[in-house]
Amino acid sequence: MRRAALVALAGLLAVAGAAAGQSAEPGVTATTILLGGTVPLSGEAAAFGAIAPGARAYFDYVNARGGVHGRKIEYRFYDDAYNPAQTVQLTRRLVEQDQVFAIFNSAGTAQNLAVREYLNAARVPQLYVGDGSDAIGRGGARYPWTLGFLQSYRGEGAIYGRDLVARRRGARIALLLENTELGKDLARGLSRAIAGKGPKVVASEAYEFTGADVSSQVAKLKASGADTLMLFATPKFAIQAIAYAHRLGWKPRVYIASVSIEPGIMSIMRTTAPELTKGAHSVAFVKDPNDPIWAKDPALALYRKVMRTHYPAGKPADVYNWYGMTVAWTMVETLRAAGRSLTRAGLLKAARSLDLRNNPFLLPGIALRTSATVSFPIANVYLYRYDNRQWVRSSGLLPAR
Amino acid sequence: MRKGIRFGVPALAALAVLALPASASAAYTTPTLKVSQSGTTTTLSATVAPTDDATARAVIYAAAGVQVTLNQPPGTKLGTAVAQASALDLGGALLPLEGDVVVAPPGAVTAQVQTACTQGQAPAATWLMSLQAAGQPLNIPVFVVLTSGTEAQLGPAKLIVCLGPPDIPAGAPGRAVFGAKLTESTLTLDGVFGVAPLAPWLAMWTPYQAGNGQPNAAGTVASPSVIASSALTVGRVVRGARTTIAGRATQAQQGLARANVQIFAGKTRAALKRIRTVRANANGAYSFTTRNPGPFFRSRVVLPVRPAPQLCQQLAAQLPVPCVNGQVSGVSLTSRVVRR
Repeated sequence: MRRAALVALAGLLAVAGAAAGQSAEPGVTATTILLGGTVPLSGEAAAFGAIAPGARAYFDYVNARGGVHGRKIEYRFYDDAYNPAQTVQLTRRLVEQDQVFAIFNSAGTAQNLAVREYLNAARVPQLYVGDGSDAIGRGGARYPWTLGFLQSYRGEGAIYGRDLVARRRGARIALLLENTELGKDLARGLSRAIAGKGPKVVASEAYEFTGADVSSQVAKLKASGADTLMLFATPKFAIQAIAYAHRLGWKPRVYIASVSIEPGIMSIMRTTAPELTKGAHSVAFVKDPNDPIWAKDPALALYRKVMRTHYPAGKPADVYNWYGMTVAWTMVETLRAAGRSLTRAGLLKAARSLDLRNNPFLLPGIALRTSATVSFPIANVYLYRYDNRQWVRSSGLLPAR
Repeated sequence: MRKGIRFGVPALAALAVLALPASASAAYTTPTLKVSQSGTTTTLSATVAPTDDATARAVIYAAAGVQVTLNQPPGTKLGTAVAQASALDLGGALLPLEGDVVVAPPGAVTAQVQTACTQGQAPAATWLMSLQAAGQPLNIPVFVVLTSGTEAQLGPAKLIVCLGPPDIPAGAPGRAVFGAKLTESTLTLDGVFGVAPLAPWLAMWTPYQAGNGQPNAAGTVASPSVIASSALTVGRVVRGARTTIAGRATQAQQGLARANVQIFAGKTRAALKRIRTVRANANGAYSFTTRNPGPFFRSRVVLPVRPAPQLCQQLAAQLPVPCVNGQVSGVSLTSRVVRR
């Protein structure tokens, strides 16, 4: 009798479990999880676009091994051409028509800020977005559903400032900055780090990311007599600035925002103006698959396997693919931590309590940690120097928040 | 070279069909084609100075008598492409481009693009140069059209490449990605072209008019390149302790005037070291006397693809457009080993 009761109870539990699997949560079924995002697959910021297919390749790899708690991850991404107006329209489509479970890996500062209010009001997780602005990373109290993935831009700017304080106290700095939180935060971090310590900002020129050209800004920066050029700019404008500085015969020491240092971008800058890229500085937190130092790293073997099997049309040398996998790995672990009974609230809770030290795509020693108030998962980065072949690590682990 | 190398130049009456008002663009004088072959691999290298007008269309005729194989199925990799472009949208930054040359899958190139580029001629094959720069794919079609009638005198097939104008307003249809102006392009193709006889490959280049995206037909120029066979002879004369090494370097049976000839010597055939470099005379003849005991000697000449102005001189009268920058293939010659 007792045994029969136990069997009946087990049967009930099984039914209950199945019912839990058939979640009423949008984008989740017993067998699938639907994530969505926007990236620039076309237009002037298309260089960033590979972060989405790179992430999808990793999800496909995980799916081929059973998925997460038996569910396969579908990642649907749309091309917003790096236009915030399109980001809004496409994100609404993802949420309202496609019924995605969460927004994931969307790229761009202005783009993510354009949909943050909407997503938080709708209580849709906006996770691990390609941004490091204070607006995203320090808005945890007001916008709890939003988390970035890049290191803090302000922290990055501070690293460049501390580097100059340590090595070139007399530096006269020219800033070219995108007129968004990206440029402003980098500049804010730099300014705080150098305040009263020697290096001085002697000129600062902003550009609109919807603009066409920065030639006049570069001419003004050169005229300032600066000997150090900070490019707080996205790839198109960073390349332009290098080309114009070269044409003007200006040879400042160059720092390049980490969003613009992918090897393909660097090869354009190096081909155009090798005298400016040699010795350029930036920061990094992911391994570079092109760097021979990682030739025997298991992460590189995994990356190549995933690219070969799930994204054969992709370019393995493109670090944005690697970055996409780095973020996707983090999302998979977050989904695992969120458990079998997947809810948006449960996912958010998991995302806001990250403590991951084993993401294979990250540089050694870099952990992923978040909290209710900390929305920058990347706490540390390394300073790198470009030797006109590749980026070479030039510091120990540095705080980046 | 004092004496001009005479190449097998076909009658170019066929080019009458291309006859254009003879007014070369002053800003379009540097287009150059360089062709070389090694076994079944053919390398076509095309360059235009960044300061010249942008190229709208390039047509490259394979040399007369060359066997052309075009039966590769779609998707087949034929070789590689390495290119460089100057990108107007990136402040004139130089884009290094690399990728494969593949047989285009069906539908990869629209009929509209094809018709506009081939001017209505049906291609026997369509290839794609699949390049990428800063995340943007740049797929450039290459149409291979078999020649017929009088045009066949130029060669059995022509490769046609059309490029978008870089200097029209951003967003205009057909504008080159990034406003890119192609300045260098090297195609290395395997198993497509057979060994070339002594006849020129000929490129016909048409620039754009500046700023309006319209081809400047009157600015069309031709540039030939010839693959010429070469030889290096060596002999020795011994007088006491002295050995004189002498011979002749030729290309297309003409002496390679003023060529640098490296002389090697050694105790065994397999271990020869360079002992001297001498300069050939106007007839390609060289001579070097040494007390080096050898007893084995050898000579070597290496020359890159280089200008051959006489090629254009020979062709000029037959071409309806200005001929510029004739080129002759490089040489890499190693003589037999002689014993003292």
